[in-house]
Order: sequence, then structure tokens, then C-alpha cells
Amino acid sequence: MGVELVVATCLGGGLGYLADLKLGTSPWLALLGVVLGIAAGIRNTLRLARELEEAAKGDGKPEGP
Amino acid sequence: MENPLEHFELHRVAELHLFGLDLSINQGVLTMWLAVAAVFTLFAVAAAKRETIPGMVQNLAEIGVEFIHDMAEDNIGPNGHRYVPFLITLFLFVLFLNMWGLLPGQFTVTSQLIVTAALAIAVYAISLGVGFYKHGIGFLRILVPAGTPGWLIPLMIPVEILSQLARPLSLAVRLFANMTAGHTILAVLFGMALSLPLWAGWLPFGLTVVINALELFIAFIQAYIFVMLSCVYFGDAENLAH
Repeated sequence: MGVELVVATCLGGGLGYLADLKLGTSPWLALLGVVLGIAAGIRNTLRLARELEEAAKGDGKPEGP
Repeated sequence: MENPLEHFELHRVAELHLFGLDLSINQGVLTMWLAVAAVFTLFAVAAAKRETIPGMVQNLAEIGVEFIHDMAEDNIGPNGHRYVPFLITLFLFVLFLNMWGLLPGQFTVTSQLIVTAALAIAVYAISLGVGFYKHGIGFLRILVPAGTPGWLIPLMIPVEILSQLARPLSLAVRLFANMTAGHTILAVLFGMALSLPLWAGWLPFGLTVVINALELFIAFIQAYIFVMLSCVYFGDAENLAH
């Protein structure tokens, strides 16, 4: 489930970078975006792990990568 | 050695230009038509007789439907059965495309990011549509998780917006990356087996057998995870309790 972390961080950084290009505030929004993206990635990973665990408890099926 | 990424390239098999758009048919489109035809045939045959004691094809289709049905009920809740037709279509389509790519010389459609992205965006758009239809504008509460202290709300809203936007993206990237990585490894190993002398070439060739078995497993697991996560997103939109 490492994809969640990577994708959210890149998304946050990318959106921040684009906003920087528009507003000329480089590099602050990109940095802020990366920090928020990491937070969002950790949150998604935790939520996903919890939900998959609940589902696995329900029917005892194994989970993949 | 051959280029191990060559088999991901698209080749046109027919030119087609409509309304100024380039709608040329490539081998990926052909494979998707094949997938649609195969899944449709499976259910056409399975539903043709509807026997009380199911035959082989009917049994296979029933196992698939029940598998998805249980998953939907577990993750979405009492309304889960409404999503089963969509989920089973998605599951069988992705599963067929993943498996088909393992046949020698065949093209893996799910190694194209645009295909997985289209599927993921469709899933996410449906979950947004269901959420706003069921809860109205109150669906925006999904951006503030239950139990957030008041002073954290200005921070949590941007984080939650990002985490929501990351959902379809990670859904698409996961399937695409797993398929592309597996097939690249296979291509590299086959290339090594062909270019090495016989006394060394048997090792990478033996590994391709092992990796191929692993890839079969991953093809199934990734289709399962794709549908499983779709269930989780639909469940979030339905219940809005998190």
C-alpha cells in the first residue's frame, strides 16, 4: 500500500508547484503542498489499513501487496 | 539484448478519423473488445439455462457473483447489492485483461495508465455522485473527520481534500504499476535467458517460470484490490460516518 504515500505526496507537491508558477511564490507553496501531501498520504494509508483489516476479519481472506 | 519495454508500445491496426478526432484502433482496443466479448459470452452461456443444479459455466459465474456480492455487503453495507452489477463487470474486465497479458505475445491493456485512470475516475465519479445524491451538500462533511478538534479544522480540510484527490490517482497507479513492473521483470528475464550462453541461460529462464506463477497470483490480487477499494469508496459515500 506504499502507493498511497507516493501518490499523495506527489499530488500535493505537484499542485503546490503549479500554484507557485501561477503566483510566483516559489518555493513556498510547493513545500507546503509536500507537507500536506505527506499528511494526506499517511491518513489514507492508515484508513485503508484499518478498512482492509476489518474486511479481512469479516471473511478471513488473505490480503495481497 | 531486446528492449524490455518494447512490448508496452501501442501499434495501430486500423486508421480511423471521425469528427477531427484520431480514433485509430490499436491492439489495446482490440484486446478490450475481446475482454468485453469474453465476459459477455461467459454470462450469456451461464444464464442461458438457469438450472437448479448448475453446470460448470453456471457454477463459475455464480461463484464470481457471490464473491463480489459478499465483498459489497461487507464493505458498503445493506445497500451493497445495488453496486454488484457494476462491481462484477469491473472485476471480470480487469481480471481478464490482467490474465490475458500473461499469454505470450499478447498485450497487457492494464499496463496503460490511461486505461486504469479511466476506470479509477469512473469509480470515483460514481462515489461522488452517490454521496451528493444521498447526503446533498452535507456530503462535504467527509472533509472533516468525526472527532476533529475545532482548532484543527483549518488544517484538516486541505489535508482531506488532498487525500480525496489522491484516491482515484492511487487506484489507477497501483494497478498500472503492478502490471508494468511484473511484465518488465518477465521481459528482462526472458531477454537474459536468450542472450546468455546455455550454461548460464537456464537460471533466468527458470526464474521466468517462478515469476510467471507469481504474476498469475498478482493479476488476480490486483483485480481483487481494485474492486475492494471501489467498495471502500462507495461505502464511504453511502455511510458518511468516518
